[in-house]
Amino acid sequence: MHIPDGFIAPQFYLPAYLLASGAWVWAARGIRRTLDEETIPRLAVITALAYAIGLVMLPLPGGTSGHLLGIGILAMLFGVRLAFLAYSLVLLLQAMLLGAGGITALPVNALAVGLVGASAMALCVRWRSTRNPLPAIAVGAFLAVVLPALLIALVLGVQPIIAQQDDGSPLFFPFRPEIVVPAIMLPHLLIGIAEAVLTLAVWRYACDRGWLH
Amino acid sequence: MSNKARFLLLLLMSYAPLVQSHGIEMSIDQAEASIITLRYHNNQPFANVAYELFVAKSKSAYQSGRTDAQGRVVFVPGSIRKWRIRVFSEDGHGTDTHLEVDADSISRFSGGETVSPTAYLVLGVGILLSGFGLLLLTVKRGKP
Repeated sequence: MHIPDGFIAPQFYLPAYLLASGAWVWAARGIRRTLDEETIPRLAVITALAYAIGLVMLPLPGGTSGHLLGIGILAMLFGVRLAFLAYSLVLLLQAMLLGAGGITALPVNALAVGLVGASAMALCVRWRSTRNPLPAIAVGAFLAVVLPALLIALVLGVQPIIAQQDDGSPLFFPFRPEIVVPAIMLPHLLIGIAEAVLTLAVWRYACDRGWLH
Repeated sequence: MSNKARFLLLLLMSYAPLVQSHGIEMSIDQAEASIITLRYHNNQPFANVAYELFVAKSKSAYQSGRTDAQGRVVFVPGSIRKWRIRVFSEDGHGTDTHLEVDADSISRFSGGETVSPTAYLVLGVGILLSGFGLLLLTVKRGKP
């Protein structure tokens, strides 16, 4: 889910920047109260993990490839606000250093993965059963991948509808939702399962060390 | 032959050049081509994906199609040096890149990479850890 520059029309990414700016301000409010010298090293390591696993391409059936996100882990350990900020930083670095994802696509990627993905995970963590929390954690991690994938597929799919040349040919991403939604969703169902497995492993590790309350 | 039949014959003959224009002529020439090769960071070819090649600043595509199994786009630049290529896969991968074809026909991307992705990966992790390290200096002490 690294949308490059040139795929999204300005009439879409400019409002997305406005929306994301508001979300970044909201997430940054009161951040100093939530961060202390125990939280920051953990946040640093998990953010670095999210950066690194986002660049490791896993071969998937059908000749395509995909990567894990780590957003479920961030949201599970640090909540929506910190996860959103940390993942936005990850996306910015990936775009600037590796060209993985564009600067114009940054707000769309950040809102979809960093905000919607983290919120899905945080809700599942909140509603987890105290007796057996694992299903809720697994479902949360799965949804934190699949929901952003669906959103991004829809965003890409509307581009040929909202931005066309005079002759009707698309100015930006050319494929419509009926093509792009299955093409993105099918691999991300598998990625969601892998993300759930990784998140459960981190959950167990975090529980053993008393990171979760 | 009646006048009507003559007229019809004349009408049919007047269509002959138009009928000829439906024929396709073919010639085989030799020219120097440039090859753009597209790969993922893990070196997998970006194969069989839709591309559009533009002369820089032109709005209509000079050439379009799909990359081959090796992720290549082959084109004949002639004297034109500045190009733009847009490549899209259905699952949202791709690029929109300006490139320049040198006089010696060796193409190079305008944003060509000189550092490996692994180095950037390490650099990114370093930036993150050092950034959070600086943040650590500014926060309150943890609970005793």
